[in-house]
Amino acid sequence: MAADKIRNFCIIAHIDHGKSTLADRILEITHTIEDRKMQEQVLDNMDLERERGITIKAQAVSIDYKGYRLNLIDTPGHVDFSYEVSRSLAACEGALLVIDAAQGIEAQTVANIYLALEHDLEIIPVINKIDLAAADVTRVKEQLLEMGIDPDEALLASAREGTGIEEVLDAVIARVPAPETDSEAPLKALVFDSLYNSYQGVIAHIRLMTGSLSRGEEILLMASGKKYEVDEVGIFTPEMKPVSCLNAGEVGYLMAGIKDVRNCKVGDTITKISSRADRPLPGYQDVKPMVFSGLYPIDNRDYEILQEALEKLQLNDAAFTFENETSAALGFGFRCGFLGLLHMEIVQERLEREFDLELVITAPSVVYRVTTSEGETREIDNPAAFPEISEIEKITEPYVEASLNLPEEYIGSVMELCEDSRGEFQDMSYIDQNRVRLKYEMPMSEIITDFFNQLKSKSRGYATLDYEPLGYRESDLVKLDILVNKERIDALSVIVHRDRAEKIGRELINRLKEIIPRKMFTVPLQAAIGSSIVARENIKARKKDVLQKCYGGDVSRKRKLLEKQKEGKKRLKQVGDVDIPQEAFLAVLERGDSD
Amino acid sequence: MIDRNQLALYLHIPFCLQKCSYCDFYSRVFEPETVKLYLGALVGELKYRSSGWQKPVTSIYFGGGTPSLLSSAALEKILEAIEENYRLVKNPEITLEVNPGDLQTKAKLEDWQGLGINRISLGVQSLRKEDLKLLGRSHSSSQARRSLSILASAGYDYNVDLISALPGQKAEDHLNNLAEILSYRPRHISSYNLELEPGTPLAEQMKQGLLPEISEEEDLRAYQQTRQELQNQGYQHYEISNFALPGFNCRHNLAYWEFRPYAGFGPSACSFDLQERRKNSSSLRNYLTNSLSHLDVPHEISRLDQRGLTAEYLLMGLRLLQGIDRRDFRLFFQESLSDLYSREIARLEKLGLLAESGNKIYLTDRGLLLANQVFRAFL
Repeated sequence: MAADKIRNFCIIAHIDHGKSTLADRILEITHTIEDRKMQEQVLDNMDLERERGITIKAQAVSIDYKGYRLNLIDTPGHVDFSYEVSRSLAACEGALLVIDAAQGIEAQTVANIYLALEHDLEIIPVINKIDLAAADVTRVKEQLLEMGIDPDEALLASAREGTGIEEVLDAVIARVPAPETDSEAPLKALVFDSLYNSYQGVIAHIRLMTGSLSRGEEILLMASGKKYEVDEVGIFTPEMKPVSCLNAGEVGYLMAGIKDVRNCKVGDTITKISSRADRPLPGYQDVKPMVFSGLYPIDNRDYEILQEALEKLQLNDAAFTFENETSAALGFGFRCGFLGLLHMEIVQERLEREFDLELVITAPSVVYRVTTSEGETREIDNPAAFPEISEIEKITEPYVEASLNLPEEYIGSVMELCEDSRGEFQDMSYIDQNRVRLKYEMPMSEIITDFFNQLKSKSRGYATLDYEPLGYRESDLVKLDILVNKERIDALSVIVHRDRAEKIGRELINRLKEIIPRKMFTVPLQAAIGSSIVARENIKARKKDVLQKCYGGDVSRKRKLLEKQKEGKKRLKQVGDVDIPQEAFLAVLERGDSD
Repeated sequence: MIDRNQLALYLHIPFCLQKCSYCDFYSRVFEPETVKLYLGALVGELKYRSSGWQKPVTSIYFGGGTPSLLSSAALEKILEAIEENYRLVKNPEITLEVNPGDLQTKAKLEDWQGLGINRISLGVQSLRKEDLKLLGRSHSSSQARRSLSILASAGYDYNVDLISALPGQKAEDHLNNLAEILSYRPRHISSYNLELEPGTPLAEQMKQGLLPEISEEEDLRAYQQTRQELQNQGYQHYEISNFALPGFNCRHNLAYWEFRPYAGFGPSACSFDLQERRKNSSSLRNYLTNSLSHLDVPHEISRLDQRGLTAEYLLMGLRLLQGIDRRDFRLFFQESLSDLYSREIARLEKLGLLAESGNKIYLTDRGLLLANQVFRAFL
């Protein structure tokens, strides 16, 4: 395909503004997918993605239309995956900005528009859902104007009804620039996604910036330093279709017997050994997990199955790490590293769903740097592994700069939340007439608790959050231990600021009192810092638990009721004589009412 | 040994004047026309299914719903159908569940007596006005007292149902009820603590926090003192919630706990032939249409595997204070209890919930309070 006939573009949209439906319609009217194979929202591959309405991995599809090759790259949509988003944008020359005609431009979309502008993408606004009664095209156009986008360039569409789709495609051809190419230059191909499957190994999704690539050629991944011989190159239709050669400007895939996604990470640059590019494409980051938590099988016998499952997941997820860990309370398990909370939830859900495992996951932790009195500095990602207070000289913790976009009426409550989360106010600026951007510096550990949910509830869902690491800062932190039935439960320990330790201890104990099932004996709960108890409560003994009536008609029903109770108990982790449910380990994430 | 060559018959009378706030048994509004159709259908079912149930019938139980709403003629018609199609022993126990509002004259009781009904189960629940209101009962406490004195002066064999542990209720409130009931000296008392059945108006109100809490301490105290008081007065505690003067255990309900066969008729009624359970559909409309066609009424059958059967045997048998007999278990299942459950039994004995004596295994005093823990262990 001649480069001037190629258009590479992505879609930027807020959740529910119709990104997937628009993509579906585009595939439909270009006959990229036969009707009978058409499954709603083709691009979201995993069940999880479809259920949650989010895209986790980037997806690509090549569309042939009116003699042009349109490459559509779908991008992930969550702050945990912002690096992946930036790499997907780097693979494009244009972006469709899809806006819900009734909702208008949302704050998160604004952030993505800026990201797209940073990558010099041509932005084509598409005002979608114009069939809705509440559609207000004029208002959306005003918002576009405020953002410096010419509202006259906006297209009107209803992806649901299939109107305006051709106009969108024509605009992609007319307005998105053809890729600038130099097929004679040494190969530089950007890896914008990397997937593994057990039949073909790693499948790298690539965009060729310069040069060309054919089967049989020897390649070098410039960041990982690994060398391979190419087995196959091809394009997504959306099924993988082999081609003899990919040229500069094109989007496609490559397979080269790569066994591990960590050797072919998102953002890496592929070049040829025979004619090496002198430097890689800009923007590569070695993405490191920010959040760590322990994963333990409820049934200790599942340990090996869990290990195999983690190994399989890791093949496909370079940002996910794990290593062995032992907990006195929970037994053998794994310390796992994630990009953020959503990433953690996704991994947990996939383990439970795809591998049929029942798991306990402990509260997430950041990586602390602890300097001991002997002058040694250790990185610690597990509160249980903290040294004794007396041995600690200094603790530093990772800070981030949080950018919050929100409608101005929520400024008060959001600022209160930030300050309550040890945030230090930096700056406030207006994005448009009624939206503001707040900047706070705050400990990463605060962000990974309930912050995001609190933010959403305090702003009725309108506030969005983005954050950038700022490095480590010293904090006055202590380890808060929880004792259940006088036994220290290492997996329940948390690191908190000294000034708030007592309050958090009290709140946590009160929550655990409700969560941990009552036993036939009284179970004392205590929160401690070192050897001093800062809060205590008792879980009262269960004194009476007996079904009253049980006659002919009741037997099966009552048996089922008892069976259900018993089944519920199986999902608990037995620690000593007490059964601790999963939610207990995450109870610390919930913030008590601050007033 | 338990004699299982006998049969208990249950008739479900699915009509009420009003629905009690805590009750989740199947019932519809009482309408004479519907009742007439229903009688036809019930007689039809009794005839249709009789061939499978030819063991000697030792007890008949009219439950509901509110069976005391039926006229004597209606009751007679049902009893006749039973006599014609089933083998009754001499003097079977025939119990009628009665709402106190339906027993306000001596003549009424004599009518029932004339039909052969020799046992009454009276749904008093409480003698406190506020309790009856909360429970949504259609009768008043004075009506309850009147029916109690009619029964007592007739020297009838009758049971009184009581409910304790109501929201906000103190143990003393229940014990006062009990003391007054005891002045009539019924031969049988069933004393239940309130169980909130999901979906009932009372459970909904509790969920919404509209009612005071049910106190576990008060519940416990009420139960222990009820037990003490009844034993002092010569009653035997023979099942978790049931007490009787010697010789007056409810023969019919024992069929359930002793794992004997029973056949239930009417919508939502259950049957058990020692192998499979049958449950009639809980729909009066389906029940009426189908039986007009002279076919069996709509129902579901569930066949239990051995493990399900043994679990239910224990679940029911351990409700009796005398417990279960290892020999009966072996005879019934051709397997010994120890082979199947020795680990569970040892654990429960260690926890002080179960005890053994000779061939009997039974709930301890502590086990009576925490019986669900025992039951769950066997599931």
